[in-house]
Amino acid sequence: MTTVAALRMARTRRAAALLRDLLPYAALVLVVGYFAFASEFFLNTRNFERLVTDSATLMLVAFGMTMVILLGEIDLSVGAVVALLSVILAQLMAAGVGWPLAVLLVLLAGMGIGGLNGVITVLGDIPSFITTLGMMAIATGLAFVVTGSVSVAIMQDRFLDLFYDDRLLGLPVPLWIVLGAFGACGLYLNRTVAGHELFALGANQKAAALSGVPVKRRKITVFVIMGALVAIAACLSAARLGSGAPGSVPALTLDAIAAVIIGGANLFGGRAFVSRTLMGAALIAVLNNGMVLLNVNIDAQYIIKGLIILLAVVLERLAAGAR
Amino acid sequence: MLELTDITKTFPGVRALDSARFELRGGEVHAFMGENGAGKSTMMKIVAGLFAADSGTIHLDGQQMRFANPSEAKAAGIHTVFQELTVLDNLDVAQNLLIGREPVRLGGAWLDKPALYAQAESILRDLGIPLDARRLAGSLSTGQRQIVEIARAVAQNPRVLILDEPTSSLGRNEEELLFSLVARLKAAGTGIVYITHRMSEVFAFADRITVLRDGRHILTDESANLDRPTLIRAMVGREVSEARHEGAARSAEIALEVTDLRRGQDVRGADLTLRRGEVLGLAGLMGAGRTELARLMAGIDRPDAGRMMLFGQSYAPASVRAAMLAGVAYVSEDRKGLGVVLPLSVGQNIALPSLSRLSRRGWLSPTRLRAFATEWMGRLGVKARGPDTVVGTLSGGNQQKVALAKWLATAPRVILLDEPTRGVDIGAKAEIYALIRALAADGTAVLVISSELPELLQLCDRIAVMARGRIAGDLPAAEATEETLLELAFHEPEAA
Repeated sequence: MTTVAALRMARTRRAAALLRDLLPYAALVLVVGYFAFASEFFLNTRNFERLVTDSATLMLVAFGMTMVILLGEIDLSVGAVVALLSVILAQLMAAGVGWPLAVLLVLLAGMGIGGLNGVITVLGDIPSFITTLGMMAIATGLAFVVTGSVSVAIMQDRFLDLFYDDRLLGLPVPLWIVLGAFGACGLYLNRTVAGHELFALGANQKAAALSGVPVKRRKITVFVIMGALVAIAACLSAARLGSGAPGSVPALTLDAIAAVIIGGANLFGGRAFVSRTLMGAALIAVLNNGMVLLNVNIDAQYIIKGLIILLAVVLERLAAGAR
Repeated sequence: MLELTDITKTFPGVRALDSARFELRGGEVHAFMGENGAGKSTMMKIVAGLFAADSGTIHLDGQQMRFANPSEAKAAGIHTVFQELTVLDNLDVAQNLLIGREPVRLGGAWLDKPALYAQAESILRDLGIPLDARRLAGSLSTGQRQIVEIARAVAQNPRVLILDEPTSSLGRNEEELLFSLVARLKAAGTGIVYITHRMSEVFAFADRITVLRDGRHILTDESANLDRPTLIRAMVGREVSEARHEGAARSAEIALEVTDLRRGQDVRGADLTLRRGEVLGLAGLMGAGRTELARLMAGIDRPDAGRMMLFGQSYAPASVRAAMLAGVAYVSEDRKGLGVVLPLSVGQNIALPSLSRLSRRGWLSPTRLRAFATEWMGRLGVKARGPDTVVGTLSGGNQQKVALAKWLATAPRVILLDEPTRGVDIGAKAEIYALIRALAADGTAVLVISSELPELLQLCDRIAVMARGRIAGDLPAAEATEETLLELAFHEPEAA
């Protein structure tokens, strides 16, 4: 390798790192600019609120996915589990269970499913890719079986109001929930012992273990947190649809992983940020919203999202340099 | 035969080589020495076709050469065995030996497996290497893989063979094997460049020595005309005291006592006593069970049987964390793999084992973490721009200081150092020695595992020798010599 080539490679890496870090912001500005120009319905308070409440489910799941990917793991079951939990929630309420208890039970169920993913992955030493693929199939099947493939309407207005329509200090409740989860995840990662240890754990599990990091406990905990966020996401999703429906959030898993990757995370672990994930998720939310406004075919949206994911991944690899 | 003249090579911000020269004769072993960062590896990478020099010329057998890539260098007969092994774990020995020149049929479409194994077996037999051609490389020890790597180069009858620290991971038997391979090549007229940090090898082994410092040529001479102090002076550019440490008055208080400790085939009834304020060396051959014993003491592995006492109390750590809380720390020999987390910052690395202690009920303050990391960087003299510098970008010596800082920051009562100066240049070595002595003077009990006997003799109060999973004996460093220690290391324990 010549000096010139070495210099050029270093420059490529720096440029890729810069692009990777700017990608979510730049793409968001571009996309918002384009939709504002292309649709008269895009830039107004009402559409913004709708965008926020519509994307709250994605945001919560993406925050959890950030921590899972920080560990170098993945959770493919989130979309299916959100659908399953929303169905369970609706059926509990239909059976006469009060909404606070129903929400609590769903929260526990979500943490239980997340914990199961974690325990199987960690104690069984099985790639989370496989564990959660299995969980995805089970949850999808269960949601259809328990409902007989029809959606279950939610009649408890108090629940619908609280998780969808109500406002607090002038802002929709789902936005407050998203902000709360964002703050909690950020604090967890940046200000707690457990969070700091996750970075070491994701980058080099053996070295972390030798430094006294309780590897198994930390990993399982992350899957449980993911489960809790999935459960809250299920409540928001059910309230928005007014029902629990199997197969209700077909693109959620892909979108959540995309949000984390667009945020510049490293899929091998050790590098991921909730704040950047927030930007990535916002980009996807705006794309979803704007393309609906412009009547773009729903299936064509996948192509655009796929291209953005690939771009983000290539930039991260270039920035990290060849291994 | 091979002549490099006026080689200059600049990397962004560093002049790695400054009009350096090197000349190799056929049939000689030429040691190439210098501190880490002196430019040895850069020079050899230019010969091997991995880098192009900014200026300067390379002559091979009087002909000017220019290698654009490693294959061109190989085609000219220049083979290199670098420190980083390129043996593929998922292939067997034969496939590794003949990779890239496997016997084929049908114009390359069909791999001729019987011929592959026949060729590989004849190579192994020829070279006297006791390895099974069908054994998976992943199941070999690091030393054995190194031998496979070297054999691959030797089998191609190189004109020039460059060996980059070949013995750093070899056991005694493998070392002998290497020396016999080299002797063979030498007799066949091959020129051998031998990069090493080990003085004893250089004098036993090399015909001539070249020293490089800061990218410049310092000296080339017959090794018979040189001695240790001259070489060290040439490498460092100043005097480094190699004087032995004068045994301090050691405390009688026993810090860690190990009785009849056993684990599998590695540790078979080890007894060891470590006192407060002493530096105890642990010598032994590769595979003697030293690292395995340390891992038991550090709570990484659990013993099958045996007893440990820490300051008079029963000690059976169930985890690294438990050992840490009891005041026992272990600094791994595998710095890059286990000692530090390369992609994280210096600060993140130093604070990692101390996070709980630095937190208030699980919550951390970034300012406090920064101050903590900065303080420990200062105490150990870690040369980095700041606590945010990524550890992977630091030199080996500085990475090792980070690994040490991280554990010293846990305020251990007993610290187990596994090869603390491996791959560290001579200046940083001296700093690490001083640090170890200072620790002991403060009352810490220090165990140093090292494969370099001169290092143990210089540094320790007492040296224990491990052989085949047991402690074969221990003696005060002042009474020990390399010969007595080796005697113990080769000790055959009575049938147990």
